[in-house]
Amino acid sequence: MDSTSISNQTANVQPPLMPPAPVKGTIKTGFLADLFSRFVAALSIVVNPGNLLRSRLETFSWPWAMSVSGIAFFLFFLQTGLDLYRADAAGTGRVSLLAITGIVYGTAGVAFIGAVAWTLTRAIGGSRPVDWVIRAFALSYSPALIYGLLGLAANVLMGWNTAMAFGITGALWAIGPMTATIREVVGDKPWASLAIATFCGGLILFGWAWVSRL
Amino acid sequence: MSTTTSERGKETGEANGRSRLAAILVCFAAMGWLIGRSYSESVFHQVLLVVLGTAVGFAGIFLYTRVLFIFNASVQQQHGSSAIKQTVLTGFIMLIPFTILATAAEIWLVWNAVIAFVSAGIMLSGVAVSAELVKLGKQGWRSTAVPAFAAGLFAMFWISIVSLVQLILRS
Repeated sequence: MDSTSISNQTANVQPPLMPPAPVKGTIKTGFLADLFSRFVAALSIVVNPGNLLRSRLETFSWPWAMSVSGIAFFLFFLQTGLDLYRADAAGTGRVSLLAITGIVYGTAGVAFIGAVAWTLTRAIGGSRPVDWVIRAFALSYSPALIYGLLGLAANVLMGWNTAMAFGITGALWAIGPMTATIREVVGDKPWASLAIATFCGGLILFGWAWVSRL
Repeated sequence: MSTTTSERGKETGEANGRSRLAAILVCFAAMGWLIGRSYSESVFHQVLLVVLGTAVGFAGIFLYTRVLFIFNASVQQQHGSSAIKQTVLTGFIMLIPFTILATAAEIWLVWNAVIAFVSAGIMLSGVAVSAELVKLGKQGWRSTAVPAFAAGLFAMFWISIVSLVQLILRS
């Protein structure tokens, strides 16, 4: 055994109780930074849906995925309530009720629509499990969450009516990732993917219009 | 024999491309009509905005394809002369859901929000184009950032021209 191979072996041995050495380029992060980096990863469902759906969707737990759509719709419905409040069409009680409805709509509602989409994909040869489709649908609302935050800021700070401008736009941005999800489930069937995504996107969008009028 | 098969494949691809282009132009025409009808009851104004929406959409698709040709010349070399064109037409059929939903929102719910549908539709079509380019094995900012950024400019181009003409017609 020459001296080079011995030094290579020595370099590969790690003391058992030592913490793993930090990888070059990573930063020690706190909870918020970790949350932010996971959200940025979730946001990649818009720019590169194939990569996230094929290899990283499993890293997002159910509660994490549903909280993305839950918070997005909470903000959307809250803005709807604030717009109505400004127009003297709702009191603080109704605004609060709408915000809570948003959480339910963004979690149970999105899960239901995901299940509807899964049922439709099964009819045309889809093979992914229902929880996979629901998680992907929930993460599709990550751009809506950003629009929701920006819209709420504009609503509160500048007094704008933002439910249509920011809320609807955010909800529309989910249609792209939803189409990519369905395409991933059913294979290369673009027309079928578009039809199912249009149906499901329409259910969610017009469901908001119906629920917010109640 | 193989030449005949590849020729048939090419013909089928061109036929698909034509039907996709027709579907995309119908989407732009419908968006123009929706903007026209939300501001004017005049049939002339609505027809003018249908024609304008289609023409600006066609010009936008042409310019968008040229931009991708410039930044992704290697795709054309590897996959043939019509690869970029097919990629753009496949990506832009993403406009269909937005057109259907915009029509439903305008006619049944009277939302007056066609611009939101147009901008989201064109920009997400750009994202779909970049996904198609990645599928062809093209990685990097030229295939991901350029199609999305160019789609943003396309959306601004279409909305600005159609809104400007609609404002002139109203005044």
